[in-house]
Amino acid sequence: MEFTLIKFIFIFGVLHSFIYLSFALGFSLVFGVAKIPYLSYAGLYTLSAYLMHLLLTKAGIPTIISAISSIGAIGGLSIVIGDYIVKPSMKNPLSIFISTMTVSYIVEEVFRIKMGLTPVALPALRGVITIAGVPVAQQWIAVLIIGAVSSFLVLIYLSKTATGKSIRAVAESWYESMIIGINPYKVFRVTMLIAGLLAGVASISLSPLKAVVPSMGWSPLFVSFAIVILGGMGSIKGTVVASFIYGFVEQFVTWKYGGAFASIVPLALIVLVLIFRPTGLFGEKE
Amino acid sequence: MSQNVLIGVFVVILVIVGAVAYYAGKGATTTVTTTITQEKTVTATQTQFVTVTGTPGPTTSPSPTTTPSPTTITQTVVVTTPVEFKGEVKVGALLPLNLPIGQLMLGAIQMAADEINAKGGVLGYKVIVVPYDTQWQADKAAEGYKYLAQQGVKVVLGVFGSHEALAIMDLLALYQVPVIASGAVSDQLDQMVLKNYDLYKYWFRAYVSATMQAAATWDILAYISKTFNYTRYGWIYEDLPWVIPHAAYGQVRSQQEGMILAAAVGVKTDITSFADAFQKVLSNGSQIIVWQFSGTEDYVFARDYYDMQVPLIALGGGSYAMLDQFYNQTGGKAEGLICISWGFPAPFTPKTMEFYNKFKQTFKTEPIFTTWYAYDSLYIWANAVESAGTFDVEKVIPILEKTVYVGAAGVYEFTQSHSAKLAPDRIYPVFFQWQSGQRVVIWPLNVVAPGTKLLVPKLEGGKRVWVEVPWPPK
Amino acid sequence: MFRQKTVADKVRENLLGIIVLLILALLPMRANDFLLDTLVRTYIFVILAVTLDFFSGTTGYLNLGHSFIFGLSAYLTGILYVYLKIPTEIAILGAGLLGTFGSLALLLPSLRVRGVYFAILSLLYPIIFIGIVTTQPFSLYLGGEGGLRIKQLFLDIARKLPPTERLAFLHNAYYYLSFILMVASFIVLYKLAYNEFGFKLRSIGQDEELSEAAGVNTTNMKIKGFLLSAVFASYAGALYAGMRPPITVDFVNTGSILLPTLTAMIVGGAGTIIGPAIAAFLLTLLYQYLWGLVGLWRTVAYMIILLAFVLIRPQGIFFDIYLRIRRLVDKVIG
Repeated sequence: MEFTLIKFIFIFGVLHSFIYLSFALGFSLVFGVAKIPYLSYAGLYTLSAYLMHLLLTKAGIPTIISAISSIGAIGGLSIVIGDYIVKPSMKNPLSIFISTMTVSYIVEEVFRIKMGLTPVALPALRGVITIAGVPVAQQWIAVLIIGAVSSFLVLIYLSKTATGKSIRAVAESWYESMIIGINPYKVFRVTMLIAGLLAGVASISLSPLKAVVPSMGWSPLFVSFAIVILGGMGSIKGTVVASFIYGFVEQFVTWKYGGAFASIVPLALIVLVLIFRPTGLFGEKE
Repeated sequence: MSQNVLIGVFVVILVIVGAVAYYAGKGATTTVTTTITQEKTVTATQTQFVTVTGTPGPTTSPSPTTTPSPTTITQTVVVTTPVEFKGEVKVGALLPLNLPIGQLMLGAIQMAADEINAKGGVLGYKVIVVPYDTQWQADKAAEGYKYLAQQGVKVVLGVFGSHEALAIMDLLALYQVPVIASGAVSDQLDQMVLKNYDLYKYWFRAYVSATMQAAATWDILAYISKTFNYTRYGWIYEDLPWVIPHAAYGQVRSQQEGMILAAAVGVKTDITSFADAFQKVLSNGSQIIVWQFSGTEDYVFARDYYDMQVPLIALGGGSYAMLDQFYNQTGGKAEGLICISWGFPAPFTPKTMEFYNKFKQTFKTEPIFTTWYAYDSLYIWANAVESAGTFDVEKVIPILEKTVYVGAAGVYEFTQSHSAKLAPDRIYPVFFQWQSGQRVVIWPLNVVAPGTKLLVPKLEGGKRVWVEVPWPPK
Repeated sequence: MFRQKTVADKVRENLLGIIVLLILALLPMRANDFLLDTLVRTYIFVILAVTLDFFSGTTGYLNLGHSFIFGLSAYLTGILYVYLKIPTEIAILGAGLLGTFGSLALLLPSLRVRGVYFAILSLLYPIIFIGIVTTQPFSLYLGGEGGLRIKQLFLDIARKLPPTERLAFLHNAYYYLSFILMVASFIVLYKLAYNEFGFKLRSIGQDEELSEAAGVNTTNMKIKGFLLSAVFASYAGALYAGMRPPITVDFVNTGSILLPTLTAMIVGGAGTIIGPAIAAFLLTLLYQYLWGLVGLWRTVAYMIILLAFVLIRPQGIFFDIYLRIRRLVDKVIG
């Protein structure tokens, strides 16, 4: 394997890993805390990009403010979904699957009908910089910085603040955390908020690199799902490690064997994990 | 408690942002679907257009009778007299309405229907378009065909996807409703008509087959390569089944033209960087790049073509690269790309620009790709029915087979496999190059404006520059 | 002590069901072709919902690979016809059987895994299957773009009839075939589910270890339960392939096959068999007719309705409604 290829894989591996981490974290938190697959994540991801586009182009609001407002709005929406859709369905955990999924479908369909005629492009940073001889678009650097910063912020929040620690406690066990006096429902709200914010951040930083289309949310959802399984449900450390494993493996396959095989990566990883270590790398048995 | 305040703040942000976006979004692009729910009345006005000087964009509003002045008339004059229809005739539109192209095609068909009705309908019957959403799925397409047949349509238009077409082929002989597709390029369909005429004679395609599509690209590829003495080409393509016939044709034709495939790179639709693809193509000594996508890769491709200063001519096709906003959407990075466009605002026929302007005015967007052929397909059927004097499919089919129809996209003449003939004076694509925001036509040569220049890339001092070459070369 | 149940008693108990069945059986005399066509598709989904519920609704082993069973026998039908030159009618019979054992053989290893992990693993089967079928060289043998083409079921018989009667014959034949298969699978699985067999399955769903300790051979029961679920789902797949060629990956597509089935199971009431049957029936029809009502907004409307169903009664609204109707009918009859 020639050196250039290694350079490509390493650099893009790092970039992709941070991006995957930033949106897998949100998904993982909800999965760990509420024990549910947060299928609305796809819709939040899509909505965030479209929202920013609308604010930017139709309401003429400057880029930074549009971005922050969209992210905040998606955070708020996530809380609303948590309270009005997830909580009521908790009586039958199976049904959460359906109820959260409908949100993503609705978002996709609404935008397909209303704005589907042309793909939308969010503004990206211009220019290319070269890292060790590899041309990398500047937007990628923004992605890296935003992804890394948001991930670090969340991780610090989880390990240093009171609420953060209670999130981890609830993720480990609802029952035991209730015993020590934590209110799981309050924790649930905050978790939903963080998940929404992370979805928005990931979406807005990553979509300038591709086009914004109504079905853009499903792929990140699927990737997050694979990462959480790989890392172990409910384990933050697992999510972090798994994101990097996933990112590097995917980039390795893409650069060496071509893009067509890259979609097999998540499948293969999941299969391997489930065969050899069903609870994931760092997951614990219930 | 402060936590709840924080949460409350976010919810408030959500509400405000949502409201702003909602009101802003109301000004978003008009949806094509609004045209379906039009008047249900049976009477319509018959308008006679009297124009002398060619004006784009005919007026469509009926106005009281005005007498034209004897010599030159510089505006369209509309004479209206109300007309009664004998009844209604239904035509089906089997389309993936979940895709933008499906909605555009439906709009085009409806537009054609409205025009035909304004002139008295078909054989005196008002044309009603009945749509069905296939959602890009083969089994839904089959259901749709049955539904439309059940509704009593006399012809099914649309049928954009090859998999959709293949799903309905075996139903044609059972339901005996003819199909005039504007899409569905699979060569398999042509084979079916040739091998089993009795079963599949109901199938017509007002467009060309996949092999013909590939042939059109190779025509210009061969010409440019001979002009500049290129023998090695690199091929970057979307790794999906529709590309297979292009690959097969390329293998044969490249040998005929004495060209060698230096590198072939298959990519996935949601690719984020072509750096690797360009690297491979360049390092294998390619002298020209051929590219083929059907999704949003066009944007990423254009961006990387510029960012990486790729010093090769890049000729190819993508759904979005041919659109008028593409140049601006890529921030000018599309400069120099040579793109195919099936259906283009260049005066192929007297109807081309008229249709283009009217469509653009009505739908606030260009007619893209098969939208042109969808518009023409209804007219082709209507003309055949008028000639036959009946809706009876057995009488209409022979007329269709002998049809030579001048449409908006070109001239339609059907081959033995019921597909439109590929030729510069029949149905043929345009190749243009993005030059400073303009789509400059460079192929076919009979449509190229005099004084046209081709931009050829060169490396000068480490940067890519564009050299103007008179086109076509003497 | 208890007097024997007379026929009259049996009729009274099942009056509701008998009336519904009679209406559906006599429908072809009145209905137009499109309705019959839609109902064929509806019955197939009822079978899918009932079979999924029979296994997953009771044992809690969420078989997200249900579409794999369906699609496998569909493809087997095609392969039998195209490569072994077996006529469609017989190919369906054969494929149903082969598909059952095929899916069992492949899903058996997954049964060792519990809970959520079984669900995830089973989800992979249709995905991998589609992956194999769509890449070369397999795709070339399995139909490529257009799918595997076979001669439609009963087409030969239809061709012998005068042209005007052909369509009607096919529609009626398909209708009755799928109707009979649906009724058969429903009755068999319903009876078993509310009997000792079902009791054991449900005990696995409640607490597998406890059930094992109480003497239930859980592995044995899981296999049997799965087999029963698979055999009807397989035949449904083979039959559907015979009625609706060409056979494409849409037959295995999780989105179009599994999701409506899973939805019906959840919204109908997992484990009740009849809830999911009703749910599948109504939801499939709803989705089809929504097109006429709201056109392009159909999917959005459908999703909103689904959401409402789940929020109103997460445990399954249709079973609830069914019980209420049942009580009403019982009160009326006395």
